[in-house]
Amino acid sequence: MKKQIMLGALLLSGALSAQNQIQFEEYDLDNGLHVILHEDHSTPIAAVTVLYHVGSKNEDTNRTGFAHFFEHLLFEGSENIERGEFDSYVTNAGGALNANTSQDRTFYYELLPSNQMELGLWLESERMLHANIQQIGVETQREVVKEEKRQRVDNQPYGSWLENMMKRLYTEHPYNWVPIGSMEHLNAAQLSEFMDFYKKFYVPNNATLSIAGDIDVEETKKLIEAYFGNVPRGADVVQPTVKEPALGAEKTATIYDNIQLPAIMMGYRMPPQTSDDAYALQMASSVLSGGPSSRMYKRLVDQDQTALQVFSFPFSLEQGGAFITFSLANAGKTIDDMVPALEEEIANLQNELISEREFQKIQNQMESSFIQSNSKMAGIAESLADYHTYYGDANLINTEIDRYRKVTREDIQRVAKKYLVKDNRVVLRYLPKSEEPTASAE
Amino acid sequence: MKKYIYSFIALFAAFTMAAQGTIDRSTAPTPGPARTPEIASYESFELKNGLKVFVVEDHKLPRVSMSLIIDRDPIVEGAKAGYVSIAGDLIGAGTSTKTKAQLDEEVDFMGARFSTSANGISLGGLSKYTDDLIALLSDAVLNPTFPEEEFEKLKSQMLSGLQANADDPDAISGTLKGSVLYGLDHPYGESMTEATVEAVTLEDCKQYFETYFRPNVAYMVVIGDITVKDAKKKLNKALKKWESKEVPSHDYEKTALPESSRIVMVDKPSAVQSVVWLGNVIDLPQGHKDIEALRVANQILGGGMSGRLFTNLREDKAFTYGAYSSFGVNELNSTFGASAKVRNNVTDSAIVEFLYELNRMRTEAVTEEDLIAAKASLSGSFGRSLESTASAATFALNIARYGLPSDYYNNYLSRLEAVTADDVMRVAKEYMRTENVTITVVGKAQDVASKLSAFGEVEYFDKDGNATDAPTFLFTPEGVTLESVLNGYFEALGGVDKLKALTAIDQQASIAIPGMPGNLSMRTAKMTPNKFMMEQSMQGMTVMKMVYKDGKGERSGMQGAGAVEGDELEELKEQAAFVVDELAWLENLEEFTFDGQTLIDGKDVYQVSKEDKTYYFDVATGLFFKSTETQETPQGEMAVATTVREWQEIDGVKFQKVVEQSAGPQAFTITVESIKLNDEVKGSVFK
Repeated sequence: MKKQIMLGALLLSGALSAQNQIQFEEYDLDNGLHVILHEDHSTPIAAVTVLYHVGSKNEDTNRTGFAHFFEHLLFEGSENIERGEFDSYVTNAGGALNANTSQDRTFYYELLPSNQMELGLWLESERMLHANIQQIGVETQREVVKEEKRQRVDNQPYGSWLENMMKRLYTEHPYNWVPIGSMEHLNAAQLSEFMDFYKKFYVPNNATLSIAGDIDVEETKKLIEAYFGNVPRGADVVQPTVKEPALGAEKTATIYDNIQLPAIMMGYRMPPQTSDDAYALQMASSVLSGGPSSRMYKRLVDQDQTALQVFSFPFSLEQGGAFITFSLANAGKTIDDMVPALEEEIANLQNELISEREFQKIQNQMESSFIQSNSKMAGIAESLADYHTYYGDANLINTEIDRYRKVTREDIQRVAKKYLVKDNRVVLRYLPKSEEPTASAE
Repeated sequence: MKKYIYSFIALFAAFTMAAQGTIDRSTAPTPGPARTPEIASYESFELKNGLKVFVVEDHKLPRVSMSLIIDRDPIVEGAKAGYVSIAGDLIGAGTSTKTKAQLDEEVDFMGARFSTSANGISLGGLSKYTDDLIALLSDAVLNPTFPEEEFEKLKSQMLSGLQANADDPDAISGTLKGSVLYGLDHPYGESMTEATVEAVTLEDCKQYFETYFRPNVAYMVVIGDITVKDAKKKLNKALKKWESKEVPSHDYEKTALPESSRIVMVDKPSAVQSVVWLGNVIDLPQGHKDIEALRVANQILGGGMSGRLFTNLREDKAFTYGAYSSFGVNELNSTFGASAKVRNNVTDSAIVEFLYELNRMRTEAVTEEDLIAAKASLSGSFGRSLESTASAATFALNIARYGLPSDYYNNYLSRLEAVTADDVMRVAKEYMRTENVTITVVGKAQDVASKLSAFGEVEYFDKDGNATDAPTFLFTPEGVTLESVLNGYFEALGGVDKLKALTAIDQQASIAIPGMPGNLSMRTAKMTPNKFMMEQSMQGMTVMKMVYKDGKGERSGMQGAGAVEGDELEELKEQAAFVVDELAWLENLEEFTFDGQTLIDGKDVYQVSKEDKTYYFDVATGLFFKSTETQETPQGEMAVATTVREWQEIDGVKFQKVVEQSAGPQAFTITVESIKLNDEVKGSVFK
């Protein structure tokens, strides 16, 4: 969930930044497919990835879960790939593959021995050009997705927290629901609706092909043209423009779950991930919970010992998101034992500037994490695609640290005052089912 | 400096790339020639105190990571289970020069990571902080203070952690597996509980550190932007005061397989999925000759999305989000196992598929295609792992720890390539058991337990791995009433009309009492509405006989003869009223209550009670299954249970054939050997 929050470039010594520089080349095919290529011969592997700019926020309100369902469906095969063979090709070539879906994107990748890179192009172009969407695949994957939900949400202590948070934090915007979506919606969907979704979103002009590793860029370009050049361009994809009204007042809810230890999650609406304020909130989060010396951890876990675990993180999304604090009570402690300290730490951030030393510390943390990121090809390919898609600037892989560096102590105080306020938050109290009043409505 | 290079085995002929623009979409492209990945080189040296150090230089990024590994035998912690883990955390919770808060601040200020555990210390950060990191390491190793306050804190956190785990199906499954496979008194089987954690003292933790944290049993791995020379100089300086001392060793017997398969369960009433695991203990130390063949077998069975388990249980049956298998390699023992999380109502079906796939591996040779694909996948995964220089360090460490040949990992791919289909079947037979397999299920017993009895008698455990009674639960199924249960029962017997049409019965049964020799038999006869006879005999001699006829009862036999009167007479009268006793129920239904559905002896049953007697009816067949009651005896109250094990059908009516009865500790089995009905029954029987 902590996405590439700490990625970024940095102005260290000249020697360092040269060492860290990720060289890449990018261009568009005629059909609109954006291509990013990074050449690195250290290990004979290549990561072939395709990012489709479609996530749960592009779904209809009565067909939630579609984007994620598609991720499953698109492993079913294509005109030239038999059902169930997608994975075998990659595995048998000594590669690995998978995919994931968020609110904003669907991401597919193959990690291959570099002499098999072309296989990745073939598979991904098949997926884009003529995926095989059939009833049998739909039926099977429907059940598989239900099991995924049972495994990740229903059978998991606190597993439903994000869903419960988002549906209260956003009422108009499609961030209202989470990618796993509604099983009823998936049950109700017809084959033709799946076809339409594919035609609408799985088009080259809505995708980024990002490849990193042991490749020859010129050779790769020719292959890409051969495999993807004839995929027809689709209609322009329009991202949602829903204006979410201000939350206006704090919302609270009590959820009774199969748990022993109570937990409290506070979620504050966030500005889009590309905004300066989102970076400042990221820094604020480090002050609160970046490491055991951070304010919240030190206070609740080490000093008061009311919490077994506490952390905050900006769940940054393209059109907003949520700044989350999550605290899990120690045995015998209650939510009310934790709340005053949580509130106080947020208030301190609003009322006083953080110290110079603390400021230096979080900058060091950003720097360290930036320098150490991008050590693997899969991560590089993904970051390049993300930066291009959300920011329109793949080079942020080298320069994003500048955006963190721009954040001042005053900015941190300002965003704490602006966003981390009661009127802008949802509070979830998770309690053991044994404490549920018999006639509870939740 | 040794330079290890292995040659990558190209599995497909190398061709040059297809000419651009004329690609053939109908088949997968042909790969180009494979490039050879390299295992990064390392150097090793030993400090005077016996600490063995491995250094892998990697200057691509300005960072460094260090791990100290304590190589000791597993420990049984017993009544203080948890102390080793607390000791590990405490090592980094304060030194003679710094409090925990100061240590935390220092680490965070560098943007570094630092953690301690019972098995070592791990830290890393930017290489400009290398000296500070090494200083931290040496401080933790040489000067830990084990502060009382931090000890109490860690203990309470561990207790909270136990509570959190109480609802985590994966945590429960792990504990269950360990305790069932290895036993609660084995280092791999024992589990922490509130009581064991409470029992841990600060002294235990100090003692652990004193005893086991010694350089002569430790390895140090340094990876990153540091030269061997620097590492040697700095570590020597920082750790030379660390004193060696003999460390106790612990030997354990190898764990044996169970004599027969077991099915064990932890009931988690809130579960919507069952966590299913099937597997067995294996004896497969590092360097063993079967490792590569088992890797191939495991890859084919459940190594990933192309594995048979995934294909069968997910892509074909849609039982689960994923099904996989895996195995461990360990000096003492490890396990092979297959697992999935499946929805409640397919739990048993999933186990059937698991067993089917395991059996296939054991009895059918894998195809050449499967073999090639599995090898390709494993070599690819090995090649990918080399992207991280940490792999080279792990290899070097294993070679030293387990006395492997120095070219062990360089030859890994050639050993893999040499595996044949016969090898795969041989190791599958040896390591993937279907006969002595242990099946563990964490799930909702109410929904799944009855179907699990198909795999054997379900043994129940609590979340701490202790054997426990089968869960009792009672719920009201939709649309089921007392009337529907009893009607269902009569229907299953043959229908009320047919039962009422019976006028007489004479049945002969034998009685087997464990440990008692001799031939016991019992004859029971009835003629409606007013004749009843029951005779028990041993070796042909009458032990006791009771006859009821026309309102009078008589008793005879070894214990004397006389008239039967009072309550006993009433009972005989009732017995005589119907051939099938239960027809009498229809006349006083108000005395019965329907309690709900539950589980008895692994069977789904409806529970009906009448005063202090409880009846259970099989949900699947509608037939009476069991009754329990408490009877007053001269020895006090005694629980009496009657269970029907087998039914027989005569002229469209079902009669009990094999019945088990238990009264307190005594149990016996009644087998009905012959039944005569209606006209076949002679009146002379009641003389």
